[in-house]
Amino acid sequence: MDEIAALIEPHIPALRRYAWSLLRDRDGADDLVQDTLERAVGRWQLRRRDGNVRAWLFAILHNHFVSQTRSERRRGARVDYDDDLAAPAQPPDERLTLRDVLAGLDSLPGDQRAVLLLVGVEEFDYSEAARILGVPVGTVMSRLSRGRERLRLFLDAEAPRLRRVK
Amino acid sequence: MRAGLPIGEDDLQAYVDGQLPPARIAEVETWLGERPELEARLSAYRTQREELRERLRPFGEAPIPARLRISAIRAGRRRRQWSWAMRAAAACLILAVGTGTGWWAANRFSPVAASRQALAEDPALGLAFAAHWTLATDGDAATALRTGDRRDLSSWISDRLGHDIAVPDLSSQGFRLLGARVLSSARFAAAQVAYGGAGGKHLTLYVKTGETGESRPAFTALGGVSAMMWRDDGCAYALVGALDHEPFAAVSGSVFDQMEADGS
Repeated sequence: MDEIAALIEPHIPALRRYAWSLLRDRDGADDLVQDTLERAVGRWQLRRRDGNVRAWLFAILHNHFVSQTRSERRRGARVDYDDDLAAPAQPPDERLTLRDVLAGLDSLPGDQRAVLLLVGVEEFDYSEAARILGVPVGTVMSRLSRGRERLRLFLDAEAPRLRRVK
Repeated sequence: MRAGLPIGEDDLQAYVDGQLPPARIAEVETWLGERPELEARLSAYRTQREELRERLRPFGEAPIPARLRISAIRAGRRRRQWSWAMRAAAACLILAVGTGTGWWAANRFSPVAASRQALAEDPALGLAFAAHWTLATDGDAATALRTGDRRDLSSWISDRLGHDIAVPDLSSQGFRLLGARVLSSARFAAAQVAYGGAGGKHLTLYVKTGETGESRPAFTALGGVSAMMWRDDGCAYALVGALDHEPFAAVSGSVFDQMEADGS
């Protein structure tokens, strides 16, 4: 296997996860990852040799996502939701809580959602997340604390309602 | 790092994420020990973080579809580059035929009229032409170009634009790299790279951020100045120069191939 494949392919599962988290549409997410990989292969020679390949790939994906969202908004297109994803085999009540987290994530502004995912799920450190998003570290920190607090309030408000449904 | 400074919201987030330097952890823990009411909030943050991971984990474990293999990505790029090469060859042929038969002078197909329309419809193209004219007519702008080799200028422009930009090598086309400048406004960043050739001919390559969509290269001409433009990855690219059509088509092909080249 060649160098590019050996260095890029190990990150594809995480790129798909992040793309899906942003788009909630499996095919759309894979299209986004495919665009990202095409770009990465084309610009391979240009990346910083000392840089982190994983953060570089996420930055490309994020740029694609932002420009795609912008042009969709311009066209007035809507993103389709794909809810038939493999649900983990767990008791129904626990599944409800887990579903809630994703619903809560959806309720956040896109900027905060991206930070919660990059830091909390993909485990980038704050300066890497800042570079991926092209914003200062301070902005990452404030989006993180606002996003987490908003998600907490969402889940607190949601819990009693779901209990009544049950 | 922040030893001794007041505890901030950023410290609390970093505490949740395990991103605090060890010395600061002790300070934050002492501080939290005096404020038990905060414990519920921080533990809610930890829980939501764990739940998100748990919920999203299946997506990081699913097998990769074949179309996302690097070998498949490469094959797709090669197919597209081939079709661009065919298209460029066809464009050269049309231009050659056109020059020979006075096609350009024919009123019905006047490229100037077509190009005015293109300029009106595409602000980025207008900016590229304007930047080209400025450099051609304003000696100060030309002397203020930042000089350096392709690698220096590529990384300088990439940093300033926040996009990876490869400055192409046009020496085999008879053009040497003169330098580059960054032209930023409040709403976007742009850069211009200048090349000089025999007989005082100039070429400029204009790259503008803040664009959307993708388009294949398209040729246009206005007042004896030709341009080739395409869009990709949030940028518009335009090569501009007062060259005859055939050499311009050839150099355009080289620019596009280098900027969109497969890295393998």
